Amino acid sequence: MKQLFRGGRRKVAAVMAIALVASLSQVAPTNAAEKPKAGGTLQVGIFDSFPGYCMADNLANSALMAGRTIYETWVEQRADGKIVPYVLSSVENSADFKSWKMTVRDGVQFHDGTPVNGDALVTNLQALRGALTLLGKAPSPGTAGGFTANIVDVVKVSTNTVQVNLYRPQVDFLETLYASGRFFVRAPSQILGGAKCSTTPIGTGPFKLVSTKLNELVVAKNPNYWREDANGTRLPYLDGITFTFLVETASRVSGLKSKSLDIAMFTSAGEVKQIRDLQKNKNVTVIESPEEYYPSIWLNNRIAPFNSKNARLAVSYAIDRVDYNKVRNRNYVSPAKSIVGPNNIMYNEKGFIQYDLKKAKEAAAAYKAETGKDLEFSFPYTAGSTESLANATQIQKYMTAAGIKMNLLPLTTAEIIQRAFPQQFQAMALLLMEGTGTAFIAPFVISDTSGGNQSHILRKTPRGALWHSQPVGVH
Amino acid sequence: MRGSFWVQRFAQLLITVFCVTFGCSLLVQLLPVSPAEILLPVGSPEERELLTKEIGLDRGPIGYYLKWLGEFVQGDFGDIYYSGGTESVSSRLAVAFPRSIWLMIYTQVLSLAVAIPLGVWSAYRVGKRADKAISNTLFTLSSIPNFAIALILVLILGVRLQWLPTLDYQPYSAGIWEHFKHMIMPVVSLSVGLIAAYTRLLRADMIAALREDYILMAASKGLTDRRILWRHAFRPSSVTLFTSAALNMGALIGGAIVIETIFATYGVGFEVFAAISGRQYIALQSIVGLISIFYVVFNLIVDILAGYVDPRTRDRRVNA
Repeated sequence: MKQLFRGGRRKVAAVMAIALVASLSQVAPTNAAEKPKAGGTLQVGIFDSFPGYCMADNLANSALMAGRTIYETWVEQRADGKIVPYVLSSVENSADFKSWKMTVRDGVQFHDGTPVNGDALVTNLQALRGALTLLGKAPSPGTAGGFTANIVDVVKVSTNTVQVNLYRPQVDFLETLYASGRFFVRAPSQILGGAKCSTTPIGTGPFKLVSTKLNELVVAKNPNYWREDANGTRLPYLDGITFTFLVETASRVSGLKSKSLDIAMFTSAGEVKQIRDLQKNKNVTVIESPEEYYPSIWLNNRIAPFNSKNARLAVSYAIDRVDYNKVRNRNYVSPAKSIVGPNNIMYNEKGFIQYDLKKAKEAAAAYKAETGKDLEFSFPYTAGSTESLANATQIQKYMTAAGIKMNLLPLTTAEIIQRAFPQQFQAMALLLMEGTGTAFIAPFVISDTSGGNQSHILRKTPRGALWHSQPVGVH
Repeated sequence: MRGSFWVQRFAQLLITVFCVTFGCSLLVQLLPVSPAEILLPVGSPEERELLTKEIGLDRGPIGYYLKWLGEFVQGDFGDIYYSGGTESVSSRLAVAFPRSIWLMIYTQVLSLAVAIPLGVWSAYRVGKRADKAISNTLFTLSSIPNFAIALILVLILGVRLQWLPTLDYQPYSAGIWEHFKHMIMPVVSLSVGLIAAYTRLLRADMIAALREDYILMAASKGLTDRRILWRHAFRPSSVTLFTSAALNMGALIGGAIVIETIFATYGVGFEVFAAISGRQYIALQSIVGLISIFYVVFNLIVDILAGYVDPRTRDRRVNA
């Protein structure tokens, strides 16, 4: 799950010094003349901290990008959106899509030297669905338990092959296994490692852990990495990378300009001015991700005030998305017309509520008539980020104009994520509608934490329906 | 100094540390929900129960405090809790404390090294053009927040001239020049305000001292101005300055969060911020305890030094 109001982003811009593009590249060169230069290290500034690396520790946004230097996923999403085997060598599904047979790629090993095999796959899947937690062998799976709740059992068929049986047919099970790049291939020694699961990431990726803190991740080249480029040179090219959490945009910008940083990441929502300025700088190259995300304001319909439809409508009508895009994004992206981006198969403009101040006021008045109270709610934003505060303040202005009181709560990204699932907020900003499919999105939108599985252990926790996603997507 | 003075000062030190740490531990007890629930938001009830026992929350406020204190004095500052395990606060502080200590030392050295000559000179030339120029400049500088100075320095020295790195901390082991290069801008950012404050404090005390009869006596004996200023006026005038410096030492260790964030030096200030924002109350209690110890120890040191710098203060304490 991704949270970011600070980075209420639709685009993520990675900015790097031109001279370092070649050394950064891990993509095979197109011809010998472009052969990448091996060696060197990079300093990268990111806008998220590192809350940990265990199943329930959700690396957000730019920290996820950093974490994926250590970790890979069993399957990977290609540029065309198709999910294909990655650390797995092959995947076969039954005709009814209720069982999936997966074979692990030969010759891949974890950073601790242990092989990636069927046992490792079983351990990972059992940990993600919470089965190992129930046995007291692994920490909590967190939200992964909900995503994997359609799994009946995980059976090792041979040394490298595992069969997953499902309660219900699922054609997009590989999307679930991918989880938008979040279901890492973790070493069993990490998962079962007790007190070190959150602090000692062990994966199969091109880089391995040197050190990690809340504000920093240092990784070094994995000499035994399994992938090679087109010329047969073993990847990666770089010797190491240091990712530093720099909450202030100005620090990342000055870091780039002073060459203290080689690369920095920025988000489009709150940092457009800086991205635009950097685009004019001849010494940096800006790489933009495609528009595919719709950060949204999620309204908790289990508790007041958003257990009232009038409250939800009031907020939905009150947000001037066009103005927000102009003020906060400088029209860098386009206003939302659906709860998901245009690249997603769920994209649908029908029924999407647009700004209407008159209707917002009417709905707020109807709420007061219904409950006898003025419409008021709390809204978390990322503490320490002036951009996040500015985003939240902008939303607050729209609420005030509609006669709605919005109180701001300063919290860390990690804490917002932690508190979101126990439903401790009345409303919050989430960047969740990512990707091209439904498997990562649907559990948040339409199901509870059990993922629809009536017999799942998480059913015992009376959490009911999670966040109701009003179509109030803003950028 | 009599033995009773030391006993009294040491008792004051203990009482202060006790009040701060016990107050912090009471805050943990007064949280509206169980601290175990906050520390383990995705943990099972059994795990939370285990944690409650482990950190002594089941022993009541006094029992909890005594358990924490017993471990604290042995160097066990508790743990930071993740969804999958823990990390000791000590290991985090082992990284953060040297950064903050160096930052504090360099800032104080630079501030005092600049403020003392300026304060003395300003008092010596009181009312003259030099005094007015120094006072006005310092008044202007003291009104600029340190983060603004930091950003100006970053823009000029880091971005435009590219003389200094704008981010990160480097230990001595990375090379002395590398270490200093990374410390210059954070130290200067923190020092500017302190230089202004120290200079103004010293100037005021020096002006008062220079009007004393013993200064007139020294001058009538034919002593040079330099000797009068440094030997007879500066020493008794420096007590307020050093007391202020001692208070700032404690503040600099835990309170330089803004500068630490801008320059990514990430010392104790960041750890305090991380503990607060991450609701890591045990870590917060231990870090605050350590900072309070720094505060009182620095103040004790200044009290001792004050006795040597100006024997009259020592005599007053003894007579009292």
